[in-house]
Amino acid sequence: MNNVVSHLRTVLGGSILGLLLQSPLSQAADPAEIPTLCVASVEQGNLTVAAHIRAGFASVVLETRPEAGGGAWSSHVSGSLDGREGMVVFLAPSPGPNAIFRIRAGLETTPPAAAHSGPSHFSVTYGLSSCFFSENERTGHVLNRLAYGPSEYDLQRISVIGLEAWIAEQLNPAGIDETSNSALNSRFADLFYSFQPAEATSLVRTGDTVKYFKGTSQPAAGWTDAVYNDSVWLSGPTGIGFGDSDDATVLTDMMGAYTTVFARKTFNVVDPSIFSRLELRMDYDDGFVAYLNGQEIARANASGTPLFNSVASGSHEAGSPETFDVTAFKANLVTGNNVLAVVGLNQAIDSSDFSLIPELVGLKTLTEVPQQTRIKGVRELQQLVHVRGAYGRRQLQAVMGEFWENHFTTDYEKVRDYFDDLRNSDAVDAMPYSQAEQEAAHAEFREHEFFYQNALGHFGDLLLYSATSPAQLIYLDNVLNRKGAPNENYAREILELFAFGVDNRYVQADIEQLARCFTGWTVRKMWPQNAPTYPASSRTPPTEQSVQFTDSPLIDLGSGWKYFKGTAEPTPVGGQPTTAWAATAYDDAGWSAGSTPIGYGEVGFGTTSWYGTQLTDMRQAGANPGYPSVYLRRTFTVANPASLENVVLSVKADDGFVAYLNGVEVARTTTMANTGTPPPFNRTANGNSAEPLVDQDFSLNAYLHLLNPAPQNNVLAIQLHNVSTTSSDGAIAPRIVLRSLLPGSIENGNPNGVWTFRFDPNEHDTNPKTLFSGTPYQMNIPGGRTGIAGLLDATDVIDAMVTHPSTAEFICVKLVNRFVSDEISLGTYHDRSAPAELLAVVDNAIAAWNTDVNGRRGHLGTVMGAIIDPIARVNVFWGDAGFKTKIKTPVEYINSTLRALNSQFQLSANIQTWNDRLGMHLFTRDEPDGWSEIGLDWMDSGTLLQRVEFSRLVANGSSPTGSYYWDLNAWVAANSITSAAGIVDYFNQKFYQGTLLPQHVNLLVTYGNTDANGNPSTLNPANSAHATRVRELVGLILSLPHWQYQ
Amino acid sequence: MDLSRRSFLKSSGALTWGAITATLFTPVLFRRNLYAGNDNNNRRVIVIFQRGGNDGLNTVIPRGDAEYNANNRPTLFIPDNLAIDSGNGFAQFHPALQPMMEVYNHTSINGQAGLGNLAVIHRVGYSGQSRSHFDSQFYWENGTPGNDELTEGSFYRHLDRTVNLADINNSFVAAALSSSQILALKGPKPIPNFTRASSYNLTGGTATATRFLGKVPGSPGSPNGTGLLGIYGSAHDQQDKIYRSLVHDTGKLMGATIDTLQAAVAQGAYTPENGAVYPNTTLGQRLTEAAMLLKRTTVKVLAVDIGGWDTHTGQGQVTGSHAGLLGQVANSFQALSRDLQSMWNDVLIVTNTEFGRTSQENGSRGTDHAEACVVFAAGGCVNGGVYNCDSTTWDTSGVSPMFQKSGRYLSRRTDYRAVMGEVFTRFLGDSNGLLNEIIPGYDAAAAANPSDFAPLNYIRTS
Repeated sequence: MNNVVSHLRTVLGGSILGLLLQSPLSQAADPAEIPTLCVASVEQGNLTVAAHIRAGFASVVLETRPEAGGGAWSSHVSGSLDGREGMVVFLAPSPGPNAIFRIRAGLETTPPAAAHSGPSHFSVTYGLSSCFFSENERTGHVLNRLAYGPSEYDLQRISVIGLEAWIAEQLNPAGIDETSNSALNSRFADLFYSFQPAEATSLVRTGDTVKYFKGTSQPAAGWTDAVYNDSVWLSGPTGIGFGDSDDATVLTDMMGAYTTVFARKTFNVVDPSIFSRLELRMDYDDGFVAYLNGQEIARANASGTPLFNSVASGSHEAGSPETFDVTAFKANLVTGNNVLAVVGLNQAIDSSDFSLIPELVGLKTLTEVPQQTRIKGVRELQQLVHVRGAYGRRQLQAVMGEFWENHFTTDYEKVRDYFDDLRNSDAVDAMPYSQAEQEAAHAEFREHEFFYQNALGHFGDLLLYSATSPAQLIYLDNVLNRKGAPNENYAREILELFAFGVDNRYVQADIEQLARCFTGWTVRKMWPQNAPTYPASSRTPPTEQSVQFTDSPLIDLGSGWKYFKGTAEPTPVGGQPTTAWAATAYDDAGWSAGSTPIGYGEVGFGTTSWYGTQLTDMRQAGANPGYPSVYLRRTFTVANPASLENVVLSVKADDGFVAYLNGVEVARTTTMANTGTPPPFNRTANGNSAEPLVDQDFSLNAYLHLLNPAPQNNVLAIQLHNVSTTSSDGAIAPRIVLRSLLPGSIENGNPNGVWTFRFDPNEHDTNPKTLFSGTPYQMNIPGGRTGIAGLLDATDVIDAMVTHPSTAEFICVKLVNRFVSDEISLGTYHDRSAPAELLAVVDNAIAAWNTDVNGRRGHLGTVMGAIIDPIARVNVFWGDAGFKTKIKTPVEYINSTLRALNSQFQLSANIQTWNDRLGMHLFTRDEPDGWSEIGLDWMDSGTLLQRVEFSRLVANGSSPTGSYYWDLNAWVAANSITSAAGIVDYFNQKFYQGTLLPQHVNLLVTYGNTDANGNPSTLNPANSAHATRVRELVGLILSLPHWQYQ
Repeated sequence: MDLSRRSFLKSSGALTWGAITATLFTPVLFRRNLYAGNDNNNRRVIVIFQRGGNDGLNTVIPRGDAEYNANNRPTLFIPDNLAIDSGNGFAQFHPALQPMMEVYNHTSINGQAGLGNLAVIHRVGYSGQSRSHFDSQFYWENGTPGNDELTEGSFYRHLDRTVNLADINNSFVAAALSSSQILALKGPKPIPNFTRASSYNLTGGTATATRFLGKVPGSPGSPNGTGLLGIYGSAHDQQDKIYRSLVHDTGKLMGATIDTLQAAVAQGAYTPENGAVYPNTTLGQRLTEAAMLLKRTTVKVLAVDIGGWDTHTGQGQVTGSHAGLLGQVANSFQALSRDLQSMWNDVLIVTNTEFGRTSQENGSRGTDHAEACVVFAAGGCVNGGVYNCDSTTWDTSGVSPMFQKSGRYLSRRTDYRAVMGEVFTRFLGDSNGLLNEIIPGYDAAAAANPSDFAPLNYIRTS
């Protein structure tokens, strides 16, 4: 061959190459034309060599000879080139151990004869340039893409075990030992807590009648004691206060007159020893001190021992009860009578509101319910991404866990609000806000944890888990997706965002059909020991509701009602609106007798004969003007009101009503909001009743004190309002029921429970559906799948999505975007306009996707193997062209900065707020598309400033107990670097792989050698400002344009 | 070095990225400097994007269409007596829009002669409407329906073709008040964005921060530059690779923007004029700053977002989440119209939203993604009034327009490109030829769908 410009020499060991040498054989050859070795390996007796051949050659040959003793080169493999540059791969039986090889390229159009030739031994891919990677560059590249950037730990690890082994470890993360990783494990205590399931017994409840004393003077001494003469004190139900509508005992004289209220509640405890914990739950405005049998147990916004004329030391609004753990005082509880004494404090005598609502709860440990590890809250969950990202050794798993979290995005805030709006069977708020926050965070955590644990598993599991995850069911409204009233939100997004990609072989009709498949999908709470785990939680979920109960009516549908047509005000007739007609004593002898349901037009009110009393003249017709309202009264007696529990007003209504118990308003529909107190007779409801055939429940538990014991009478009074007099219907079917829970049930608000997927066959649309009609992937879903079989309608589609080409394309392109390049999209993949190398890697990834692993397609570890190409290292991932061509996302930026300095951050640093500032808050994005994987979306002047600020903050973290801590002394000790040039070189080599240009280095060194006043001053360890200046310099080094790339 | 091996990006020909590597200092051969002295010199635009898809039918109610009723919208339906009359005998407004009526001020509403500077344009969409948030927002902002890869905004193109964006003196010609850049202003040459002018600065002591930030090369007394800006302003590493210009230009822009904003803030606390009160929300805070910057800087285009319009559930009626959002927008228009009276004839405030919502309420007391939607525009040059929602244009003789598209969606009457086209031509003075660069294929689209592009002329040119 002429123009020989080889070569590479490699010692072939038993199976691994021991040594790489490179030098031009002929000094005359242009070094720029020397072939560059990319990969050489011997496995199972086969030698694989890949090399980059420069442009201008027509043939190439791989030659070998024994290492010792010289001897002639023999042609091992040869092939032709067309003159373009490209990657040549030789594959042939190994010449045996202790051989070396070289590669020669020449101008001959006929390659020299060789032992092996032909496509099975020789292949060329033109245009590739992956050989321009140095080993240092490769290491940096791999750590930037497969990890959150270089760290001392991983650089060291790679130097010991090599890149290939490191990648293999990362692809099989279970083998990476994290138990000894104290940097990681020590942080979990900050993020999680151990939840001890317990059954709560209410000792003092909201609505309990207490003794109270207005603080116009000091009550007699000893008022906190168990034994005390409070007979002169007043008596009334809690809450006590004024001004904010949470008061059952309204202190109309408090404002301007007194600032304190003293209260005592005597309660009976049968056996205090059963309680393992004791909690005081206070809803208060503005401060309080609480005592149990004379001993102070909790306080807020109070100083010293409050007197009658004391004021709260701060402002606090009621509305969300606060829990105080008072277990320490459990021993004060005695068998028999106990007294909870509370003094409530207002902040100022002219304050506009005051509230005092104490609850005391005894908690009995439930030994049959397993203890749970729970995330503390959303901020801890957000920090988990940085804890694992910065300190975890399973870096690829952390990266992919975050990738899937972002892909299957959900919004914590929507989940929290959903939980907060729930009610228990007694129609009372299921949980305080703080519990809703915790339960939402935990629902998000469980989802994220699954994504993390299965980040390299089967995509089908991730997709199904996400679809049936309570957080996702709530986030994209599948919980609201019911037979006859489908909600398309989730059906659209699983196609567009989670599986197929937008408009990728589906149409609007598919969304509508799929939405019907998902009808009946919802959530419920379960006792943890009963809750199924994946995949049973997705494949065989419970079908019953969380709570099952029976109602026994106190007032049932039927007779006994008096009514007054709303052609005028009832009391006085034709006068201004009053509620005199609702009072117990009101004489309704002049009203008509009737029975419920009452009204017109509305069918299906739960009775076989539609109406007790039909009011056909209520609707406007011809000369009849109709009337928009009806007033109703029902007299009833109760033998022993004090014995009642869980009393619920349960009403079907079209369109709105206000209800009164013995003259006091106890319920109002949202359609009657802001219509007056009481609403005038001619007022129409604000809108149609959303679901007239569904009972609206209102708890009466807080109003039981209004009830008179028999033989005295009680009156339930209701004013019904229609949306208009021309409406096609207007009716009401009210009941008061005593509700009791069935065994095995769990209330929505029970903190011991866990949220899980539930399939409700009664809300499932069992009609047939057709998806992807007219395509090779058409799915005909049969009708009539009743019971739990209806679940298959949607799970069959989810399973089929994994093998649908759109899913493989969409996910593989997105993974290539994340790990390789921004230069391809679903669109440029489809029209093949993306660069050939990227089309090839996506094609390879899709082929890997379509390979069965454990009998299933879509195995992500296999797909990632195809994308990374860790053994041959000849694909585009290893191309120099892709080196430092992605812009770090905010999470990548933050984690890589922490890793560069092994910075230790505190929980209190609230590192998650930096994600927000850099533009990528996780777990709280409200749009369902997740954050972009494309660099252009992450580079703008607003967030760049925040990136710089974050790097400075981390580099300046000098206190071991501060928000961020970089141990500079240890760093100096380990690296023995103190000069500006040394520092710059250290970071240039380790974190920039030597890519800083000389002028960049000069600017940095000059900066390092400048003092605080801007004067030249060589960085000197003896100088007191040395540490500060080093930190500023490193902050600058980690703010460079180069630090934005990965 | 052999160019052919530098980068596969070079050979890709990918539309998206071709432009990214254009350098900031390309000689400007064909740009004209519109802002340097013609009639439209002082024209300013505020674009408010309602992200999520605003329910146009409950915003501007087609009262004259019997299909707007409680059967189709059981919990959303707003009765006649609770809505605000538009004065045209057909359309009504959501009651939460009351503050906007000061700008609309149709004489037949309250008997007072008003400015009539609010245009309410119903049924705006485009052929082949996408009901994907992400795609449709893209199309609205990049001006090219169907192209979800063109990450370049139409306002960006207007700026790029009328101003030399490479000139540091033009570094604050436009801005987004947003934590990340808004697509309308995205392009190869970065436009500034920030959330709060006063806090757009490096922290730490002034001397330390100033030294850290440093100077770009070529600054007086600093030929090679210093500190952070010295490096952002110098040569690129791996210079033929993607994103180099973007990152370096963004860094230089950051420095220039710090200077501009800190100088504006240094003029003192900002007090809105004429009794303007902005809503006490993020939108209100950002629009307050927008007004301040319009008065204290030479900025021409400002973009702001308001999210939360994706009302699949519990949308509400007279009150509720949708009403709250509308109230914020209405209050903002009122405040801006008061505050900006000194430049009112040169200001245009315009809203965008990616689509409207289903005419029928869904099973969750909300609405799902649909098609045509409502655009608001206000300013001294605006011919106020309701467009596309009156007894002439809203033909109820056959199938109601509310259900003309696929039996589910409100049909469009005007293409959004025609609406935004007027902003560029009639308000900003761009030529028709330039319009076809700003909104690629404008003439062809207009020829294909002439009725969608029938001029509304809601902006006065004299």
